[in-house]
Amino acid sequence: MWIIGKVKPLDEFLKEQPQKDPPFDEPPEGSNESTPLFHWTGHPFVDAGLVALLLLSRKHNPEELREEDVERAVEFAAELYLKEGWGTLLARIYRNNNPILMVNPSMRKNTTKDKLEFSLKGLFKLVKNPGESEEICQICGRYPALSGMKLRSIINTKERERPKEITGDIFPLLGTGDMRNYFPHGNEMGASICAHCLLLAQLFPIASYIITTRKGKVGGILVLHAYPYEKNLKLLEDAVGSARKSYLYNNAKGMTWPVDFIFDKIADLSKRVDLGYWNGVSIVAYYFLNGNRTGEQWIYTIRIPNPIILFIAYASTYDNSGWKRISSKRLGKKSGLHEYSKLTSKEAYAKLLNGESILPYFIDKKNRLANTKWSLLAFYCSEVLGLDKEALEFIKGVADKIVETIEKLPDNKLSRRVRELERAEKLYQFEGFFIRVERDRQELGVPEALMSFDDFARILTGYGEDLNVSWKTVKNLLLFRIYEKLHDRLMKASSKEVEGAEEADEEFEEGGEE
Amino acid sequence: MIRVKLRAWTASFRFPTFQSGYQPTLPVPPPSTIQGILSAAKGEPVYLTDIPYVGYVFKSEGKGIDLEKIYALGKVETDIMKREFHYKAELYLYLPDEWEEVFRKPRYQLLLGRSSDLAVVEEIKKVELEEKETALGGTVVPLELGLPGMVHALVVEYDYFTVPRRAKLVKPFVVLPFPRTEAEKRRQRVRTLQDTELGIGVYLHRWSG
Ligand SMILES: [Zn+2]
Repeated sequence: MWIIGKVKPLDEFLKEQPQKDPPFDEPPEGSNESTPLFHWTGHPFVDAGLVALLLLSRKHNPEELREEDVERAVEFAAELYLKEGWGTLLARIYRNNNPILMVNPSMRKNTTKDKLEFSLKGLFKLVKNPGESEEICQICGRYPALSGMKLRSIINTKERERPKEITGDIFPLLGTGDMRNYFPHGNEMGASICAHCLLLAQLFPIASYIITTRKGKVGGILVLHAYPYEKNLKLLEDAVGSARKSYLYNNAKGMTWPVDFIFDKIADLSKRVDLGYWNGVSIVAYYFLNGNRTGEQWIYTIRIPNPIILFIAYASTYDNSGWKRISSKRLGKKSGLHEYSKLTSKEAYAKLLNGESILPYFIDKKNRLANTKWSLLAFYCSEVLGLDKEALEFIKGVADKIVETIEKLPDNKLSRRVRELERAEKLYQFEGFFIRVERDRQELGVPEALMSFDDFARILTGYGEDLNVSWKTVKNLLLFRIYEKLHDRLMKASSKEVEGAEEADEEFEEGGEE
Repeated sequence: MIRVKLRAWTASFRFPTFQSGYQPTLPVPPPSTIQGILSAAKGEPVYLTDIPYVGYVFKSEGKGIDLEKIYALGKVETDIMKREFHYKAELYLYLPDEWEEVFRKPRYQLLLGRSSDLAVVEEIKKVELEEKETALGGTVVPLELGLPGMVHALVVEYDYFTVPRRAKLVKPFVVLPFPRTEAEKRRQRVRTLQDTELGIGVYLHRWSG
């Protein structure tokens, strides 16, 4: 920490610094359009509030919003927030002392729709006439920051319940007034946030999904934030829909895990749009509680990178049952995936978000089955793992040559050969498999070698330079193709093996009778 | 241009508006942290809007969560807070040549976040960046670049004339973590300048406009 006051007195800086234009956006010259009332900001809570405002007004762009739209939305919010269940929910979002929404149980007894409306409309007046301030909003960087004192003047509560500063009571996860060191230099005024962002922050619960526990308690609030911003409208449509249609908050289809819900949401939307809809889109989910007790204040950020969105969209659209098989494995307690283990019930989801390969889930070793089609595997390999399309084709070619060879073997030998590949845990075992298939080829008189030495080197580094990751990836790809092509025979062979084993036992037992 | 390499055991860059009981870290430092480092090195407030360009690349080996005891200001009251931090952090700064002198002898401690995230200057060298198709990462980039990623509003620079300091310029950015795999590199590709030695793209911010 450095204290500038000790280097130079403050007033010297003031003299030396060239005066800059304030960074407020001026409307372009010659434009007749009035400045829009609201803007996208890049802050998840504020942008979600804007989505609520847009969807309640049935509009798409902030520029289309008119004063009447805001008045109507605010009236709706005032009515909604008094409905059953919302009071408890709001206390988890704003701590229980939000004086604008009158969340505190003691205030709530006397709260009426008119009182809430009065405060929210007062805030809107401040949006229209932001007045002057030395500070700009640290969220939008566009409007002057609002002081707690100014906010007081528009709020319909008793004097002692009015806010003194902009804190976590009225903007989720900001510090509290009595713990001032959450703010830069112990700022007594709380955070610098403008009326525009503050009003939207009062509306965003309408555009949130609520994850509940099995017993129906609020587990956390889920806010989805996408870029390009317009995508937020589709993602949050159901949340706003529940509020508008039935005055209920959206309980995320009763799902108890936020990541499971997000993946389901992407899959669900993908049924109605082309894959191209997701090009260049990224989603970040913010999952949080901002209750009164310290332990209740937490937040997880869940980043869903674009390739994973595309993959989920593709998988759920082109082979939904295969995708369900791939993702069916539940996350065990000892999964070691700390970052996401509290957020999803599924192993594949956690691994995808962790940037780990889910290739092993594409095959079912026990039943020697490919869980999906090659096309989905290929999509995953190229879009998510980043495997070269050519490398993938090459591996597929090699796999087909292996199939061509081993399918000529008798059932029991075929099964044994595949088992060698399945059980290869060390590189030399993997190499041994190729040598044996090459020998099979010669014995069976299949023309041409399986592959050249160069090809072999290539297959080992088919996926990246990390040999250990690479050959295991290739192994899974080969197994996928073998299962895909030879599943029926392999199952027949393994059932025979089981029978064979029983027969052998029987023979032994029966031997005595002979 | 010079490249200054800073190294620290820990680093943490809080989301500017998540200031409550739990503080997650941003994947990379926001511009305002860079402003802080430059100011500390120089010993006086530096404004990113006053320097011709600045680029940076941040990477770390992983993340952890720390428990921190904090004291209320002016009161006998403490609290325990969870703070997420990066472990084994490296920050490369790309700056005009005149900064070499400054980082040879930094005036104050250099920090990658809080006062416990002490950093050292490990290397200063002249570098030439090459324009080519390459992966960006470990930095923030403007939305106009069209790269997909986490979008978040961040403070570019604070006004240090006042106590408490005030945000002077705020913008939304795409926050791009340092790519870990070839697959990630591929999706963060764009035509830009590359540090060929590190094999990573460097976006030079020119806020001086
Ligand atoms: Zn604002």
